[in-house]
Amino acid sequence: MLKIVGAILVIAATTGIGVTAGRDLKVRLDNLRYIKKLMLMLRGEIKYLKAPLGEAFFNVGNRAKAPFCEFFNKIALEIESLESESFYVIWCKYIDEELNKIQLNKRDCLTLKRVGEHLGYMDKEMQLGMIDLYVEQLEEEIIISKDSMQEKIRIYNCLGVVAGIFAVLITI
Amino acid sequence: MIKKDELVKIFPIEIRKILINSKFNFELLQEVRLRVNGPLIVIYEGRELFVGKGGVLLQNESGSYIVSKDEVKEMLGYISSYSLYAFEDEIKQGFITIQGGHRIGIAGKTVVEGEAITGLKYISYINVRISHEIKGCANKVIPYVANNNVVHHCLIISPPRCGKTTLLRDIIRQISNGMNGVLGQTVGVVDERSEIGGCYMGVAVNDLGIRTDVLDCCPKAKGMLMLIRSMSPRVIAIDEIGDYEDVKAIEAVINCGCKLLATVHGSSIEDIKNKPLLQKMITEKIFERYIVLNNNRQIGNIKEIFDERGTIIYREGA
Repeated sequence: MLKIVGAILVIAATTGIGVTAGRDLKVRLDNLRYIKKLMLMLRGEIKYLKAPLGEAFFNVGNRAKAPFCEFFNKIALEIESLESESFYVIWCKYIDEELNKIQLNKRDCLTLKRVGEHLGYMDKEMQLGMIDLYVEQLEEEIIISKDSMQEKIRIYNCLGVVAGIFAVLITI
Repeated sequence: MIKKDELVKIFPIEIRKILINSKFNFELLQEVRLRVNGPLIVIYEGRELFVGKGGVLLQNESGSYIVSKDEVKEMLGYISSYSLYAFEDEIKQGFITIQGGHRIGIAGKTVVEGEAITGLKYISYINVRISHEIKGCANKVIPYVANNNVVHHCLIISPPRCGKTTLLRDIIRQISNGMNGVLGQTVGVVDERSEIGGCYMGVAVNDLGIRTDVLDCCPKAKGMLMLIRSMSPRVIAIDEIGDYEDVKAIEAVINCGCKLLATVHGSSIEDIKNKPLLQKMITEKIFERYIVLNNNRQIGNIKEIFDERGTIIYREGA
């Protein structure tokens, strides 16, 4: 009896891990979509208001949901304090500090960091171009992730169950 | 009062440390000049001095701090809050005004397309002109500018660096708040270069009085007409009349019954009379008061005040 209960618990746990991994994929996709939306808001702040980065980040931060609002507001505050050598330093610092709390993979963070390399530099067109390029990359990533997501979720779910059964067979 | 901590933030880290450790009084500091591979120079109490590594003021170049190319680049980042793109138009004109109304002059290699300057690259020279808010500096001239509840059309004539914007700012404040014998009046300020109000996100940092509306970063000619239509001011104030468009807008302001406070570069009333730009306005006796400044004894020293006929009504030392 105890063995059966144990086996059920093991299978349930590994299935849970599989389901969580599948759900993380969905959350990541939602995050990428939300980042795209925020980037378009930032683009608007720069294009129509010609707002400096501090002001633009503050305005976007005030309209964003957590944890993105903290990310944008903290960057805005650090820009205003003029304590850092460059915008890129501030940008990378808060990607590492604030966005590690959400579902993004290493490549997502790296691509996002690259946007900051050229923000603030040169003219308005350059800023808009950089944001447009990033939004394009995001769109591609969203399409790729969306296409493969259902399949991956199914695999994760199956793997979870199978891994549980396998573990039970080995231990019994 | 100059906020020392706020001001030093725009300088590169090393120079920031030097300025923080320095013993000099920021109220007496007029300019800080940075040139790539050149010494760090300040204009302090009207004198040119060099800044040493420990923040000491030196009479000559030896031992002074040498500014590097990277530091000028770093400073541009701070001046623009890492957003040079937001100051494209200002850079084309050769200066950026920062919070507090401090004007940062920049020079380097100009980018020219046709006959127009489209940008500035290899920026290698920076001049920080520190704005001073001196409340009460207009006390001496106020009785001539406004009396018996009447504000006179007034033109402040002054060479550069003699305190005309500081004086204009205090006149605005006093007229707006009201003072002995004159009730407070609604004042509209067209602050094309953000030097009068030192606006930050649309709000004036300098005290311009309780009845003052500021149109920040707006071309003077357009701004004056906009203010008349939108804010119905009794008095309109502008800094540095520059071209015929401004003069045309001034005529419109005066025809609307508004009083005008303005400044112009010049050394005397004769000097202004010889400028074609203002000749007509002077002969038509549009301005009722001319305040001539110099920096003989101190910055903002009032040399003479004339009425519309050119009669001296105040003379320094008389």
